[in-house]
Amino acid sequence: MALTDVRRPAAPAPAPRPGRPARRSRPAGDRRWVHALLVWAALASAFAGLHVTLQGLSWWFVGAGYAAAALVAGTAARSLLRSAFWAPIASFLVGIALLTLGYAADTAILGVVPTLDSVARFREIAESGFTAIVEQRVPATPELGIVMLLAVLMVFCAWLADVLLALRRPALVALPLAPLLLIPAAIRPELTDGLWFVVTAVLYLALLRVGARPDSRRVVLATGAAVVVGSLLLPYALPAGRDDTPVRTGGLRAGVNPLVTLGDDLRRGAPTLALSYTTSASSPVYLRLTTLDNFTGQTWGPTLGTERASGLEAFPDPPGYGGAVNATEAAVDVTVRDLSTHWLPLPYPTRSVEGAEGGWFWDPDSLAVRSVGDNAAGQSYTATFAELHPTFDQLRESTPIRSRVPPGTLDLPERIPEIITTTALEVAGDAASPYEQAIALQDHLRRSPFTYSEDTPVAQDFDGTGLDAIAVFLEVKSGYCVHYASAMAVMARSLGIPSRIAVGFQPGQRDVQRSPAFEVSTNDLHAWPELYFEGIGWLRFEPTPGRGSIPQYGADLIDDPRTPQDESSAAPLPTSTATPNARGDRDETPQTPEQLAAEQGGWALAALGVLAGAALVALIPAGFRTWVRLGRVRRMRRGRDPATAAWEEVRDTARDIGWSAPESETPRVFAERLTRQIRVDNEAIGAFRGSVESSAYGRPDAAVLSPEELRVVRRVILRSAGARTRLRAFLLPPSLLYRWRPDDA
Amino acid sequence: MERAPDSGEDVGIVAETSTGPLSAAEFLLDARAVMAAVETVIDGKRDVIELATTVLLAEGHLLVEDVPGVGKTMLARALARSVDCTVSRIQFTPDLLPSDITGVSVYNQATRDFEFKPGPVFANIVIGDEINRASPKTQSALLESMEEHQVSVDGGTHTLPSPFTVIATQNPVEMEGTYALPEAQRDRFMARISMGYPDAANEAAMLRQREQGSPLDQLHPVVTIERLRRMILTVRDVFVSPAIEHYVVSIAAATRVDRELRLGASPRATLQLVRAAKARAALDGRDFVLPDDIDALAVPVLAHRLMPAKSTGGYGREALAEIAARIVQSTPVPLGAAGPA
Repeated sequence: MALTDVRRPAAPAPAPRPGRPARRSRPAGDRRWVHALLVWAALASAFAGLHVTLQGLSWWFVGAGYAAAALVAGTAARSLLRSAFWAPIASFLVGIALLTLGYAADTAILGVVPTLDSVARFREIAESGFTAIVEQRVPATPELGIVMLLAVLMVFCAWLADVLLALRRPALVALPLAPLLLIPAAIRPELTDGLWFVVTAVLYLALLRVGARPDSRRVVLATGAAVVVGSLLLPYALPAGRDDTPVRTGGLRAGVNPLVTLGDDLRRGAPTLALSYTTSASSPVYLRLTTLDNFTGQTWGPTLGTERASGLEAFPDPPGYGGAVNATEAAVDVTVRDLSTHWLPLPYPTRSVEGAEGGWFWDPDSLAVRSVGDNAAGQSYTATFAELHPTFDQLRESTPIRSRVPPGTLDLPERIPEIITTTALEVAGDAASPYEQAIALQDHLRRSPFTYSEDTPVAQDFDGTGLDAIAVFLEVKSGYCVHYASAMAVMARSLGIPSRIAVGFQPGQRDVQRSPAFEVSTNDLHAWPELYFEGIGWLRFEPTPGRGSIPQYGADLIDDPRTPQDESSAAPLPTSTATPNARGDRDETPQTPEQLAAEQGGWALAALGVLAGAALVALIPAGFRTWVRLGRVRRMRRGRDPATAAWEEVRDTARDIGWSAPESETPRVFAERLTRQIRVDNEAIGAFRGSVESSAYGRPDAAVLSPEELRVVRRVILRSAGARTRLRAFLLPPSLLYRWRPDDA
Repeated sequence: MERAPDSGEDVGIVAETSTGPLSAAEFLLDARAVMAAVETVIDGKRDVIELATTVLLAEGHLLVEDVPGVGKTMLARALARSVDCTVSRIQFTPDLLPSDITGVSVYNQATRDFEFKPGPVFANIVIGDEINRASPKTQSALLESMEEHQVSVDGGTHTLPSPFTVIATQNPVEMEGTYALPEAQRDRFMARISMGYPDAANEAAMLRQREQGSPLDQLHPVVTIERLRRMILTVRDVFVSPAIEHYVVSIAAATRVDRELRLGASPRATLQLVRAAKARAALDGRDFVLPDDIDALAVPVLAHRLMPAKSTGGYGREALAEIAARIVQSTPVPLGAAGPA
């Protein structure tokens, strides 16, 4: 029921209209905080877009927190100092002090004033951060260095935005926002989360709207349109197909924590040759990159010990090795091909390495060899190592001595899912010695109904190495090496056996039958548990069904005929059956109904997520309209030009349900139009019109207009429309368009 | 020229004991009495009467323009009579001289000095009948008195009584034997109204009435001059918010840049529009001006001051009124604390 204007429409060539009168400006201080809040929200939202590149949420809280602190400092500084020059400097200093407090407090004076030591500390953390960024695959673990770099970035962006606000250039706040939004797009365009682009764009528009001078709405409109369109198109405009690895597709990188991305690496198609080796050893060798012994309950982390030793000519005796164990020395010549890593793939325990170029150092606990700047790619080197041959008696008699256990290798979080401990006790509780317990665990995991699958954990959303993932894995009984290794390591710890996880490569395929030359593909990337036995040292186990080879020292206890023993002569290939892709149990068997159901469940969840996202986006106009309305109610409550606020709201409400409400209509004429059409509650409209008039045009001491009156009239107007019109008015309020129609600017 | 009856004791007008503004109720009572009195003479012209009263209370001058015989003079006389004040009527003719309006200095044999004999302009309400029949020279004799409320004759300046209102009538310029009123003089009138023909019922009623003699004779003053002064004070007290000021200025500015107009509204026009709006607000029982007051008065107050652009040509009274109305309609109405940007 569109109302027609009582007044005649304007002639075709109307006189240029004078601009809309400026609103009475709010107190500057109040506005400042609103701006700061909007800027923070936009920064936090843009920052949230990084979630595709980082795991967890902790980094977001840190970054958003620092941004909030910097903005609060900046806004407060401007309120207190009232100086265009000193306020930014003050806020900058506060930002530096906060960063110092957070990352280098012990080197600083009073915890906040950075010293030269603090600078060195920052440099150190930043370097580790850069290294982590370079080495990790997305989504990366938010390590200290990365988080600090992000915190610095956020402080700087917040400070810059604050300065731009102080200069009354809210449009330029896009400068600090854009880089934040572009980071994920630059790293992984296909993963960029459009939602945060949109949310950030909306917040940015809100900022423009609040910060705009009344005469600049056209600019706001144009900028807003450009921002929205640009932000939506930009991710696609970036050069496509940018891989995050310097190695081309199919190549492999192993970062600081290769375990984290191991699943992704395995799932990638088209395996390539990672490395090749020839060995004089009696059996094919496992080449280790590193070990992870720092279990947080969520992840296994590497022990980045501070102790480093360089010189690869002679390695120390491996930890725990007592000398009584029979050992034979063997050599392996490794040529690294399509693998980019700062870890040197080596057999354990390494005795010496020759031929590796660059600055390498080893960690005395794990004997893993790494470098900060140099890459293993393309290197050829010879490593000698010891093959340990402990007797069964030696193994059985080995009992852990608390004081000599490598630190941290027995640590478990306080709360462990029951299924882990009960499984461990059920399987190995009766075994006579720690070694037999370990064998029982290994045996249990290798047996049916455990199956190898790289996809089940992803489909059922429990991929990972945390306690929860292990608990699900033990129920589902399907996973890949990461889950088997982590499960066995945690169960071993729960039984009192020190454990850690090694990440590296399973032996690979022989070049030619009986040849000592092996080829290791990227699909041979593997993780396995290592358990510690006093007097013998760390021993590897192989709980993953169908992968790798079971170490010989435990072989005599295994009577599972399906399980391949360590290859001795022409036995079946250790790592592979006849499948061409060398991935024996790679799960290509038909899916069970449960798996299908789980997959469908995943789809349903995804669809639900998409729906929820769409609903959120669809609600943006409604949210904005509500925000506008609440802003007006607030203006009324505070007595800031309540008549304008109330009347604009009434007009917008009428516009929302499809009525015209020209700016050239007086409240009285408009109210008459309303009463003629609505016919109910005319007294309410009349009373409201009277209040608006006396508030707008009456003496300054006129009675104050109450938001209650506005509420009543709004209800009267809305009720006059049908349910459908009202729904449309809620979801797509035309008054929002009206606000930015250039004609009415 | 005629003098209205001076006394009004037989209608029971109370003597004023105070000189301040009136309360809203008192004001309305008196204003309605005046309008009711005029309405006994002019039937069915409520809006015209209201407008005329508005101009009287806003201390403006009124120009009544229409074809002969629709009651222009009757309106002017009725309005003048309903107030107990000095009234004079000047019938403008082509041979009327300026001194016939302002007065002359004559030699007094007794005092052996020149003595100023005030002309008909020295009255509270001056009815200028058929003002455009006089020569421009005579017309302009009214100019000074209308704007400055004083008369300069032979080097002497004589102040006019207060309040002072000119109610002029004129035939449309197109009629024979008329001299167009110069812009300057048109600008001095606060509003121009036209009577329009009465509708059939009212015309019939008028016929019956006139059988029993002129109703003007039965019209007695309903307010005293002091009361009128207090009413005018009340109007002056009406509040004009910055938003209204801004609105009026916007309208005036729009007339000055309109492509169809050669001459827009003068600042005097703006001032008079606000004054008239104040009177209208008071007549409506309000103590503040609404944009609706401005809207209602913009055409009568502005239209006669506008000049159509030459190129478009052929604009009559109605066309100008339409342009003025269109400009008012397309000007946004400011609200609340909005002031001039």
